[in-house]
Amino acid sequence: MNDLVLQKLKEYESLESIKPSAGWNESLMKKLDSARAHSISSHSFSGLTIAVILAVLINLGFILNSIIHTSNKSLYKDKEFQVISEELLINPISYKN
Amino acid sequence: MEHEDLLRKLKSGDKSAFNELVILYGNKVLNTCYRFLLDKEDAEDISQEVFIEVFQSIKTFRSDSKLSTWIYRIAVTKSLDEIKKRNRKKRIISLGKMLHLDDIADWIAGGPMPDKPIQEKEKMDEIMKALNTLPDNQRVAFTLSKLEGYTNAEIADMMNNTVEAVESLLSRAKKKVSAELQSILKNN
Repeated sequence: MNDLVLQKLKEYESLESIKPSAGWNESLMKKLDSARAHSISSHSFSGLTIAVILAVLINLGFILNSIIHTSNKSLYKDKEFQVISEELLINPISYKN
Repeated sequence: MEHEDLLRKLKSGDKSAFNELVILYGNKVLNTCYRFLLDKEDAEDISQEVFIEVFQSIKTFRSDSKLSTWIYRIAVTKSLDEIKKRNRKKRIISLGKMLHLDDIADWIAGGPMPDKPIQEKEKMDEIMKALNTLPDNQRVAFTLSKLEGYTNAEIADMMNNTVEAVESLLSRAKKKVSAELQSILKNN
């Protein structure tokens, strides 16, 4: 049995080196070219993604800004109406009486 | 082309530098993969993947080790991954056969197992089974030690280990492979 084991181990040790097939190098270069193209397109895609994110953020800024200004204006208008209504003595209590 | 010059050109994405790299290391990468996989077709595919990985990660290479060591390390990792994928496929298919679900098992495993009547592969079937029982570090040390051109120091470098540790791994691997082979041959 030990001889068989040794023989198997010897077979593995004496395994001959292989040479690449004829098309191996060509096919590798094709794969490398496609990996290169993919990395270029992914770079431009990430640039586009950043531009879109920036545009969305700027847009959000504008929306928030306009919301804040609108609510300030409405507060100001509320105050104006209050003053006018007081001048005209229109208030809920006097109206009820 | 000098090593530093080659590295600089590789990092800048120079195509001719990659051709040079393939000429320099292609054969050894291919044979390293072959020693692990014992199948020429698979070794050719995996060695191509190695060079694509080198191309994609060369900018992150920090020269902590030699360029060649780094490339061979990628080859070993990719080969081990392929072996794990193969073993997983085999397990799914044998489970499918047990449950009489051959077609579904093939589909889950990602297609049927290639039924290539490769003489070399059949001849090495027992040793492959024995090697499959080794832990990864013992398997790597044992396989690389059988390859021409790898010294224990180089293996240690690739495994981020000391030469003494590699020698110990080798001696344990040899014992385990012999014992496993003995039991496999006994059962055949």
